[in-house]
Amino acid sequence: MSFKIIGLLLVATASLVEAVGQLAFKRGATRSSGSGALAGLHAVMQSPGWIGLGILCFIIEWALVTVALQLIDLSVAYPAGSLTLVAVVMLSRLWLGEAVGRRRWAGVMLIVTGTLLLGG
Amino acid sequence: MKSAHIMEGRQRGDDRNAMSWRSARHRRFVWLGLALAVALDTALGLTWKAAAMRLPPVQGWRGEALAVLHQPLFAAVLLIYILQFFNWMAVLAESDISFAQPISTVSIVTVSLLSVYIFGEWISATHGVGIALIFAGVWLISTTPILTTAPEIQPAVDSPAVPERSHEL
Repeated sequence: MSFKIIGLLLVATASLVEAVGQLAFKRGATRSSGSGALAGLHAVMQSPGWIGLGILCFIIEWALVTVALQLIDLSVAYPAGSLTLVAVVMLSRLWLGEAVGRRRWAGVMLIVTGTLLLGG
Repeated sequence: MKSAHIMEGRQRGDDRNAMSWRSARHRRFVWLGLALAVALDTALGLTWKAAAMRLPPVQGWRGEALAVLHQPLFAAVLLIYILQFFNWMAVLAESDISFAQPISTVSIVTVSLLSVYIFGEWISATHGVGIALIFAGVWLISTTPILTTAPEIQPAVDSPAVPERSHEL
């Protein structure tokens, strides 16, 4: 039982870490002066800190999920992953000042619900 | 040039002026990038699963790692990851992450549908409802503005939160 709770906490933490990683990528992409198809190269060269943070977050996330999956089933771990989406949208508003209106939130909630049904 | 390009994303339906053809180009760029992101994500999921299924049953951490190194499909996984990174950065440079990220979850649908054909898994009615909800959510988000923040690095854009000033810079 306690293993299951630890597993869920690990998955939840992993979701938040992934959200921070995504935000760091977005930050790097926005800060670089290049846009279009070469935005990735520009971002790597101009804001290696944000890109590095993003990659680090994904490595940590991968490790956390790997450990968590040894404690809980994939079908239990999977829904917690949709936390990432909610965290990304919340952080994008708080940290980056993106305009997240009611319509966008409604869309996100539909997607999260759909994801839960698809994974269950 | 870049600023003007970015500003287009903020143009709403009531503001279709001379720049609308570039606005259309911006929209096409982002949607193409999103489609590619979904395709790469799908390829990643399917390749990963195929690679994992080809692994011999091994015990222990080191054996697992060695087996991964000897399976060429994992090199394909890595290559797809790299392509995905560059495509995703191109999308993020031109769109809100609260726009792009939810829409890219369509790959969950494509992976589960393709798994039915390739790996013989099957989906229930509940799964069907889930897929419908995901598409409804994607449609709702697609009706919101693609980009709502100004680029940080251009000093020409003084107040990022005011969309009225979408004149040519």
